Amino acid sequence: MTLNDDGTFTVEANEQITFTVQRKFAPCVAGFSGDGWQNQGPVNEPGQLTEVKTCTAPAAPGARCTMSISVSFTPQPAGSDDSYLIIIAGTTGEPTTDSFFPPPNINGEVYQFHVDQP
Amino acid sequence: MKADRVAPSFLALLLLAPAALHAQAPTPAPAPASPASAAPATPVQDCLSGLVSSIKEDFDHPERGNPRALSKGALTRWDAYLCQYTTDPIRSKLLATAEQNRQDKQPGASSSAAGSTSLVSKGSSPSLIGFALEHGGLTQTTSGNTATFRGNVVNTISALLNNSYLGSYQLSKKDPLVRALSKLSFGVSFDTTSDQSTTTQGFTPNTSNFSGFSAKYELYNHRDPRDKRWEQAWNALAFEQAKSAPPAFMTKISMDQGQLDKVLRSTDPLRFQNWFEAVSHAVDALPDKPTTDQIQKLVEDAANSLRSSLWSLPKVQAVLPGLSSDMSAFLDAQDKTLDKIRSSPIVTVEYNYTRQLTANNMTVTATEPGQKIPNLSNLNLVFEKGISGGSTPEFTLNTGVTWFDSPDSADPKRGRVRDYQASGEIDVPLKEIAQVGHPVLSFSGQFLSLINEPLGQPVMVNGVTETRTGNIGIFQAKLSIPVKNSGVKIPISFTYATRTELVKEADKRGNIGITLDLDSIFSKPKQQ
Repeated sequence: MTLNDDGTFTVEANEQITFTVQRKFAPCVAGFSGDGWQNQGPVNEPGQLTEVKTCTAPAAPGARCTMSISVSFTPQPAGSDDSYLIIIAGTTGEPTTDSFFPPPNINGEVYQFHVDQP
Repeated sequence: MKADRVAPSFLALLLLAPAALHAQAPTPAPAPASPASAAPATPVQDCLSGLVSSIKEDFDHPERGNPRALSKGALTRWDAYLCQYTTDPIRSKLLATAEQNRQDKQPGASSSAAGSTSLVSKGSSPSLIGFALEHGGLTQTTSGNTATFRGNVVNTISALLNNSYLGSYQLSKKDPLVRALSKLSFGVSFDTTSDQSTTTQGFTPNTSNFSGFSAKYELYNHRDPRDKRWEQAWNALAFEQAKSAPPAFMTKISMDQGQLDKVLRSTDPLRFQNWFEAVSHAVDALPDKPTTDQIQKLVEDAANSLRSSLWSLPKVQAVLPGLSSDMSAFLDAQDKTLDKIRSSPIVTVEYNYTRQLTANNMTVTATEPGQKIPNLSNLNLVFEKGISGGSTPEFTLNTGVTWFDSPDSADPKRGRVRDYQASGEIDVPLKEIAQVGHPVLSFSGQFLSLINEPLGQPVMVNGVTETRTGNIGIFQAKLSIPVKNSGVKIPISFTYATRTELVKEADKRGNIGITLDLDSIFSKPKQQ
């Protein structure tokens, strides 16, 4: 998996992509909605601060898929120096870490992926 | 009604303080004026400030991934723009203001202080430090100006060590001793107008302006949203099912977000491409270490061009209500938890030490040579309870006893108890005023039974010897006006007393003050 200059990702066919959402202060409140993936695993919570979801990229070269991730800075007292880190890691290449800060208290990004064409 | 004259210096401070405090609050620096960035007002900057922080973080940590690529992705975080463009009620929800709206905290002096504007003591103190400057008086015969510093030593030290609102709370909860001490707050008051009794009044002179201190211990208080008791409720909320659809709240919001993203990219692909290319060029033009101002301008320009080119498209507009409504439903469910927090009871015990003062402008004179006014101690039990629901009233009850710290050398038979008091208050939050916040209207009453002479011995008031004991009834209406997002409140009150402690006649007076609760400022998001 590689991060392209335009902010999209290029993945290998059938590559497993793991999305890890980490919040600085508990509870971690995240939502996932994937589209176009060959397979989507369940959301796992290894702790109060982390949620993890793993997906398998499509097999067809040039195919596209997206992962919409939403995070909530509420419920929590207003403010604080709270943050979320979203780590996107494939079975190939380097992981990428994105960050979210409030406000707004609900925020998210739709990550765009396409399968590499050899 | 007495025409209480507010000292010019006090008035100047009153007028200047909010502006000064705004300057201290961590609001982002204004962007340089440009045709594209001129339109957004302050709320717009608030909605986009998280995006600015994220992009700054990307550039500060290039090891996490290509900062320019991540920033281009971040500029497609539609929720920030939704917050920016949406109507006030949803925008307010997206910019949480829980700490700003708490009614249970009292930065000012207790009712016995010369310049207090509060007839009733509230259950909580500022978690860090509060400051109040108040002019008036409630039971005293003359008004005074009282400056009060109130705070919590343990929480303040924790905050200095951890440097974050939530982190400081968690730090203070780790150790049982620290946890117990964090319930103890202190307050110190100074009477800025009195220089104490003079030899011409016959009292032993004292030039100190120190007028008293107080210590408050919270026996039962779970009002802090960070309290561990609410953790489970917050967690449960994260998995509560939305009424209209099977997926959990956040999954539904993610689905809405995915749909909005698709519509924005596909409705008019050329317009989207033009917008995205323009913001990509702007990102590429940033230096390797951009300043917050440079990023802020970039984000504001991106937001403005998005609004004019894509946001108003009918297909985009058709998708937005769904996302807004799901966000709103999620935030409303959270409000229910906040209501539960607000309605939880508080029981606090408070000790007040008061140096009884006689102001220079008061014609109170001693009846015996070398007479000394005894200092007072007061023990006050505070019970406070809110009602569940949005913008509902809150009730506070106080009951206390005041005693003289020293016996009367001239009259050893005099009892030590000075008075008994019982008081109650109802606080009613009023409708939010745009750019101001929620004013709170309070009505309170106090019954005070003077067992002994208020100054511990007979004194001369306006040439007449006063040995007055008996009952006093006091009624107060108060309006607390917040200065939005600054932690500052301006309490203005009108008080009617059936008599004062020294004078038999009924008394009416107006009080005014300014209070600052640093918690509100400290709880705001930091600008990266």
